[in-house]
Amino acid sequence: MGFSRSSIRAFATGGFTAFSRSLDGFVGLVRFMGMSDLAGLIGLVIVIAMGLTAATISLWPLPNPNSMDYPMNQPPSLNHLFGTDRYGRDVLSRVLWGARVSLSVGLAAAFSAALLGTILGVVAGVYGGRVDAAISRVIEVFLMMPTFFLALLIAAVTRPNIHNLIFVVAITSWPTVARVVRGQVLSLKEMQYVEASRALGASDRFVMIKHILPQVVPLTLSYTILLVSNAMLLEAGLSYLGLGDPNYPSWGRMIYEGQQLIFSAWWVSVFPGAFLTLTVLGWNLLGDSLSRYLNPRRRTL
Amino acid sequence: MRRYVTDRVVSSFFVLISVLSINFIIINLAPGNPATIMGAETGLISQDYIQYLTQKWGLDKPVYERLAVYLWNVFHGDLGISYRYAEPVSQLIFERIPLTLAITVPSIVIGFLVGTLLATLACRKPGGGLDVGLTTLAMGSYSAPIFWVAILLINAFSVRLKLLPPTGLVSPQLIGSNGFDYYLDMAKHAILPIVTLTLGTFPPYYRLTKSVILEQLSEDYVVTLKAMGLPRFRVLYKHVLRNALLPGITLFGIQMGFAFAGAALVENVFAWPGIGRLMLDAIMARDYNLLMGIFLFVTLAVVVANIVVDLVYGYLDPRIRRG
Amino acid sequence: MRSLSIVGYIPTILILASTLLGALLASNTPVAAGVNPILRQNPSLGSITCPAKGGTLTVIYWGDIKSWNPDSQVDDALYGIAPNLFSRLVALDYNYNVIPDLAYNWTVNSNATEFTFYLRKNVTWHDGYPFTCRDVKWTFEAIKKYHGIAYSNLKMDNLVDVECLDNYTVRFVYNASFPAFLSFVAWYGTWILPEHIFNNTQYKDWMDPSIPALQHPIGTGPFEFSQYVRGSYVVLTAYDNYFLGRPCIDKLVYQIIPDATSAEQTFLSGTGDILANTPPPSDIPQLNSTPGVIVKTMPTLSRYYIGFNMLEPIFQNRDFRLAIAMSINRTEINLKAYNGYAFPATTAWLPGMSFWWNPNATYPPYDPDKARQLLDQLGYKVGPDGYRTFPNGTIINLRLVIFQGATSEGIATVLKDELSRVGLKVTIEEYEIATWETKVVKQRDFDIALCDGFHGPDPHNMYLRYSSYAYINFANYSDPEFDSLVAKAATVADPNVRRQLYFQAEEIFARDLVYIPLLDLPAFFIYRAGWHNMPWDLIGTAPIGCYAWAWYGTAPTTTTTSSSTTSTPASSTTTPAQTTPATTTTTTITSTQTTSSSPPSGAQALLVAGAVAVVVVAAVGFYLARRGRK
Repeated sequence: MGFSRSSIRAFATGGFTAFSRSLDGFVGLVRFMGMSDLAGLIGLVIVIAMGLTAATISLWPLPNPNSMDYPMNQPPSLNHLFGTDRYGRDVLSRVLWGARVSLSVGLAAAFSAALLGTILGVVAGVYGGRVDAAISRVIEVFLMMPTFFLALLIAAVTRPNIHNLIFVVAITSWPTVARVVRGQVLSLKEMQYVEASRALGASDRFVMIKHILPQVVPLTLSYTILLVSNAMLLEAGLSYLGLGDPNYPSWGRMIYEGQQLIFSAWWVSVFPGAFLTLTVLGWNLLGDSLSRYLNPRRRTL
Repeated sequence: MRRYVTDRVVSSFFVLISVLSINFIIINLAPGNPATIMGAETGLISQDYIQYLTQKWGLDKPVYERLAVYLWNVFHGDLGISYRYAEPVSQLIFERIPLTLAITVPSIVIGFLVGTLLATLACRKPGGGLDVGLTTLAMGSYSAPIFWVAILLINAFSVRLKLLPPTGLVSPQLIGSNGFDYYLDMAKHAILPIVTLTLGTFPPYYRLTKSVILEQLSEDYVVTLKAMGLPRFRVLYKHVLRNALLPGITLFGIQMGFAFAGAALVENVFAWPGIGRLMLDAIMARDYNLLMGIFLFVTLAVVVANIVVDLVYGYLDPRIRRG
Repeated sequence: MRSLSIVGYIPTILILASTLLGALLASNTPVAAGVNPILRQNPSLGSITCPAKGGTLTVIYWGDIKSWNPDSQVDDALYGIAPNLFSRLVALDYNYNVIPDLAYNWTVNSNATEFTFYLRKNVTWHDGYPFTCRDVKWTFEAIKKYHGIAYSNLKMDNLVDVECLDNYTVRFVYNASFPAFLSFVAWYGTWILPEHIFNNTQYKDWMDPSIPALQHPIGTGPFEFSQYVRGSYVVLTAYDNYFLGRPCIDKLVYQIIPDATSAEQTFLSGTGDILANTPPPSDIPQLNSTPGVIVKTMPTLSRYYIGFNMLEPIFQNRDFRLAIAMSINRTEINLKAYNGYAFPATTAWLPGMSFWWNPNATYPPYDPDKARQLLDQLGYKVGPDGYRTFPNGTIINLRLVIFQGATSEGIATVLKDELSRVGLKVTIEEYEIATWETKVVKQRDFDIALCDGFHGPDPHNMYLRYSSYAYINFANYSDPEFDSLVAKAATVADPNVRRQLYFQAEEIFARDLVYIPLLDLPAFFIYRAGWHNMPWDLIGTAPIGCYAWAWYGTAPTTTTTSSSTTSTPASSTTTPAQTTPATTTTTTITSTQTTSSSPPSGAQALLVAGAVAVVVVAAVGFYLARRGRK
């Protein structure tokens, strides 16, 4: 039978409003950056550029990144802008495809870590008591462990593929988020309006969703962005030590493969490293700018 | 204050035990154990050799039993014997730790100095060319993968410019000698690793100090001082900086954790025989005792650093001291 | 064969005749064949002569030792240093011949159950104590008692006794025929230890930390221990009373630089005399053309091979294995994974063990078209994304399990691409060695496994590595005929009879296609011009890795080109075939398929991720808008 015309219209208007408001938000952010925060703008541009590259790469007229048909170890030339590697694969193509791999690992890991950390942090803060104590202990334990070594250990003993890398990075990153979120929630709990809300009989869940969550989100947001850059560097570090996934051209893996060629074929590891640096820089700048934007007190910086 | 300290120490203690236990269990759940590694390293694995080692090292007992035994030993100061090197773990660690500290501590200190200095320079004209330039440098430095930077530095300074030795602890000609030359050579070999690590440690200091200084600059007392006619230079360095340095100290604890991670990667590239390399080797060899020993040590170091930082900060900040 | 004229038979007759003559002459002292053992009646043969004396030989070394007991645990790093500190009864040279060391002569009885060694009389330990048979007896009894690493090699379970007939004669008695004994006792884990230090009831075992020799090793080798800094360097000094004379050099230093590129850079910047940490093959041309640096290659008995998991039904059809075998282009693998310096392995055994090598036991040649045909015939048609599928539509995904290392990664990457050209999808799983061993050998959790191994010094390796009784037979290769041949050959004393048995076994091995060899690896010797009498130049005299004879002088004579002697194929100095890869590769490797290995796809996952991303981004924007309003 289908939907009634009025409901379709309502749906469309609602969606359109949400979309335009969403757009508004971004415009506001960009305008802020353009006016007072050039660095943030640069970061945004880099992030968007890399993101678009990663998303659309399959449509680009590039040679197959896994194809070994080309002459080996050629320095950068007109045919191969970034040269070729020891197997005869085109480095430019691999670096650009690598954006997809490194970014998706970074984003997925950061996202999972942020989600897990936020949920646990909020739960700990709101419910307090034994729940809080338990979660706080776990956070402390993780924070005390040398996380890089832990990541190393887990990566070394599990099957080295993309999924496990994401898991390892997520599991070592969530406690930082949780701790910060929990602190934020605790301070929020003391706020007047929360107490008032409670006095009026609001349940825990209501308080959580209506009052606390909206305040926690900006924190999570800026942390997520910083987590992305951390996650990408961690993945690169693990891949560099040989614990990455040999089936995908991630930037870290390329640096690892090119390491022994650094003196004979420097282009194999220099370009992936440069792109990784650029992308991480972009995310860092963006994250910094975002936290400044969302925290009016620090806008003057 | 005293209660605060004891509180921290006690809770840290329990957390430490949890950390050790978790690590122990993870390592032991990993496929392979020291016996199978030893056996695998011949071309032909012999079952009975592996069996022999397994029994000798008590590896066939259940994890919980071994964990209990291990924790018991640790409390008596016995970190066990390394399976791979047949030497006491504590001895191995103490042999190598000074080398890691020799590159991490200078990098943290220099990073602190450099970061703070650059931040003050940048704040003389916020938003100006120098500010943007330095911030980009700091951010770029922080964003670059540390091992990649290390490789670039070796390529530039050692291979192309031939200014510094590439890798290792000392040059082979000086092996066995003990004089001033030897230590000078070691210092020369330490330069690149320290520089690499510093590139990673200074940006957080830079960022933090910069934001604190800028915050301070809008505070009342600065406005007052300027109105009194004090030159800006003096205001900056004498008054603002003192307040700005304080938060930098809290970073120190965090930097310790970063330093060990960075050290592992840097030591790998520079073949610097410190604790990071030992760790990597121990993982590959499933040398349980050595691995746990290193974990324990690094965790302890970070915990102690954090407690010390808290104490120092508490001492230096009059607000908390009275608090 | 039929077209051979009578002339063709003459060489054969001559060879037979000389063999017979040789056998008659040698019948007094029949020697079980390792690989051409050399008999010496005169203990002073091989004495060190020094045209120039003094100096330090610095070796840029690749690894740190684990301990100073060379018999108790597998320690590849110590194995390279040990020949200078310690001695064995007999040793192996660079052609894997058995040569004298502490024993200058030996005899074997006719059914290879008793081995008698005649020991040198002028040998002293580094602390001055005299060396006698007691040390030998104690060492081998310790190997048995403490389960040294040579335990299985020496078949300690079958060893009845190690007896000292007098102070300088030792006899090993076995209860079963053991022709491979000589080679194995010359190999690893059999270094003679000082009984006067180790034999003490206050020590728990031979690794007791309070044994002084574990901190300051005492041996009978040409150099004595001077200094050791863990992870950094080992310093040895010449031992004046070495039984073959004092070494020419004063000091031998091993500088430990595990990272290959760092090691290479250190060497290139002028430090060190020998680069023992072999750099990646791609750097060899540069080293070769560096003035003052000599690069030599020699074949070794190390080989890379793959094995199919025969427990998986898909591999049980020989045609499938054949198709894969025909998709392998060893030349390309050699070029891309080893810069062309390795030797494509096309026969069941290694040509380097020439006496035991059957040149007719070959593997199918590279023929991708035929491979595709076979696969089509098997019913594995190519699916929509370029990969072959089972009849029911699921993509065939072969898990290639390898261990970490540049060479295995290189081989695996090329192999993956080659197999994808015939439409087979391969996923590489790379583990560090411990996990690899667990997954592959213990759990048999793989489809194809890539492995490398030393196949010497005795063909008994066929039994130890590939028979049904072998622990490391991870492919689960089980051919009763092969098993019985190699089991029988292990007990036969007559080398010619053994040879025939191994020849047959090799043909069966190649035919069965369960294990497929890929590359035979070379050894690289990289050192500075001016050094003479390096161990690889002294075939028949110098044990592998022993620098007792080395001396430095700026003599204009090129150091001998006799690096590869006897029966080894290929070999010798500098760059082989390809240095410029360019055009040659593209012609041999034309992929007729448009998709070699398709780039990472997974369209559905992408869609889901995209949808999530859109929602998240929209939410963020929405949120920003609200905040901006405040």
